[in-house]
Amino acid sequence: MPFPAYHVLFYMLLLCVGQADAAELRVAVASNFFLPMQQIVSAYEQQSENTIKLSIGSSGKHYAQLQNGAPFDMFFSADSNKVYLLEQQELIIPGTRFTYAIGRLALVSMEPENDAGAELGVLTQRAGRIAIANPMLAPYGRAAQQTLQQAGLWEQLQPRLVVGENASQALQFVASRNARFGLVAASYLSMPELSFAYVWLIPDSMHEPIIQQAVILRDSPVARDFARFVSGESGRAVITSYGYHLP
Amino acid sequence: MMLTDFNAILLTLKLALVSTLVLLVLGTPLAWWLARSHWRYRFLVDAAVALPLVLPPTVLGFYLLLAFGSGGLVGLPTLAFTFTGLVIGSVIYSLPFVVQPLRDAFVAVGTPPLEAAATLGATPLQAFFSVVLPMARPGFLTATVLGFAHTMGEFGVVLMIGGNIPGETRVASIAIYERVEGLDYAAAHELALLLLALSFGLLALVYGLNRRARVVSG
Repeated sequence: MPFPAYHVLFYMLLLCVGQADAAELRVAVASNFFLPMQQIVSAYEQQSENTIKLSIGSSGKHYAQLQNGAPFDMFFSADSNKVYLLEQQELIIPGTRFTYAIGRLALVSMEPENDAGAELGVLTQRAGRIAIANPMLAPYGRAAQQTLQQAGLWEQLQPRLVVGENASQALQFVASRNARFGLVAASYLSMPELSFAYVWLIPDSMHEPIIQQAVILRDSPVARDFARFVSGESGRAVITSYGYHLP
Repeated sequence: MMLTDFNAILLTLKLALVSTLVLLVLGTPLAWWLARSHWRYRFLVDAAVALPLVLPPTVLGFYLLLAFGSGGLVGLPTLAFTFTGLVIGSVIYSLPFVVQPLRDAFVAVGTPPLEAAATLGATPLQAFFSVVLPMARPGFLTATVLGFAHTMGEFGVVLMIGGNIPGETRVASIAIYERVEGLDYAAAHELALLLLALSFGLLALVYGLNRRARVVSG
């Protein structure tokens, strides 16, 4: 049976109407910020008709994709360098770059290490692999390197380091008990399914600040609205609850 | 090209070589059994061997990571982040690429040549080495090259269990990935091109040899 053309037209019109009512925003988000972002998004969607679609990934991958025309409206990077580079290439909406969070690093273990000394000292007192994110790729990896360098342990611990491609993989290595220690993003400490027996928050003075910035790539009222929401009161409350500092 | 990248290529070749040798040793009896067995549940083994073809490598890598880690609970050192761990991962990952061509080659040999060998007084082992092996040579060639090439292209499993340790687990595919992620596209190109040329050269060589083998045996 032939399908009347006006039916098709009718449905296409319906689709257009639907889009006008509630827009959809595609957001690329760094893996360390995925948990707070999910919470921010569900809070946002409760007070808005719009829907947010999240793509989790390492910021380096998102950056490469964005250079090649990936269809994201916003990008929440794990650092400030990649959004700066995108800005230089005029791939972002001018004036939309903003700092949404300042990351914190934590030393964690699945074993209770408290009896082995204090702070970074446990790393030399106890054997076993130490997982970090890749210092060349991930800001949390660079911060981990700076921390160990400042403590004068970098050279000494080199043979025991295992490198995850990003912050969340370093966490996997510890959570699956393949690495004894991990220097990971403090935001992961809030994951209910993870129970570390040892946690030490690295003082901010041990590394350069992990400045996490976001940008709008394709301008729309929704993108502006969501950016305001993230840096607004409810967004900030979620962000601090995950252990980040605010700008 | 940087020395670390060159070392990553060497490590890839070493991993592919060791894994292929292990696969040939383990895969030959398995393929033989699959080709000859009349067990009614043999299809389950066939399905298990084919699993790595359809599973995302990350599934394999994830379970290996959990398996290696759980060894720590009973006091075993983890095999994650070691070359041995990568060999175990690669052997599972490339299993169907070695076992299936061997199985098909053994099936193609059939029963009559074995019966003829037995009639002439050959033991089953003698028959295997002097009758089956020469007849199944193209199958072995295909199995070797596919196992080797597939291991060279391995990425997801290594990413999950490797830990990116130079000289131990930092293979070429990981090095390329790291270069791309680190926005060093020029170095990524160099490595990728070298890997591409190596893989093509290897495949061309073996298919060329295989063609000649077929001409000779035909």
